[in-house]
Amino acid sequence: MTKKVTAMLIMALALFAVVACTPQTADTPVEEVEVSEEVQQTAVEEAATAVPVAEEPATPTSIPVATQVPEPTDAPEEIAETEPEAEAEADEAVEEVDDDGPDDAAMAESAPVQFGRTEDGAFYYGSPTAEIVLIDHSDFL
Amino acid sequence: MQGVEKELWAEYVETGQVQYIFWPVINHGQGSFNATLVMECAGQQDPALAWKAHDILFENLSALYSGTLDLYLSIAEQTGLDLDEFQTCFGSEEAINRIQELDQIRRDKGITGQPIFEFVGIGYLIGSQPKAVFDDAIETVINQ
Repeated sequence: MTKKVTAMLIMALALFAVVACTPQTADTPVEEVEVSEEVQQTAVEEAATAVPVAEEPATPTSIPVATQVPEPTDAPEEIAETEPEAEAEADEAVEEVDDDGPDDAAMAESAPVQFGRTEDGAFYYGSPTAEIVLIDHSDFL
Repeated sequence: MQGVEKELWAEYVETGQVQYIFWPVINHGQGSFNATLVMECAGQQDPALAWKAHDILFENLSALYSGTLDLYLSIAEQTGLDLDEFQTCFGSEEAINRIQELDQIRRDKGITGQPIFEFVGIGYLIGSQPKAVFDDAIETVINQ
């Protein structure tokens, strides 16, 4: 009896080992797809055109400076920036310029050209949302 | 600056590409100050008139050195200002303080000469420049 039980246990263990070591397979067999030469060539061509052409890094350019920038005297570390207050100056006189400038779509995204004051009180002409802010530091004399 | 300002306005300001700011520099004493006061008081009535006064002031450059109240009133009249309102402003603490503050701000930035053109956040052009220099600078910024 004991020998029988032992034999059965050994068989059970062996069966378990076989199942555990059997590699898993897909439920559906993988079908080999034959790729025609034409398709292969197309794939190569597409891959070739898909490769991005490395762009040359943009050469940094700088604004030409006619002479040296004056050394600041007790100047703060950061340049004081002047920010236009388009909304705050809405009550000020507004003059729109009729010109052959940007199309309607572009103009719709930016504030109209107008006369106004900056936050600091300096007078400006132009769009408060213009890409470039140019300050003319001038003396009347 | 009266050199190429009008050309810059026509090509870049009126097309919305550039916002042009006049920042007063008081480097020649009372004459500078009074001229700036005229522009300030014009602008208090109408910011557009500030620029009209600005143009007339530069046209009368030589007279501004020894400017008299009569001269400033004449300029105010040419600008189309209400003269009573102008005179009230001309001696007001508010107008004087504003000009002094603007002048101090530019000194703190190290702006000691004039004209100096500041492309905010980018750099400076020192002295009067031909239009081509402004063209290059603006195109460089736009194309960056």
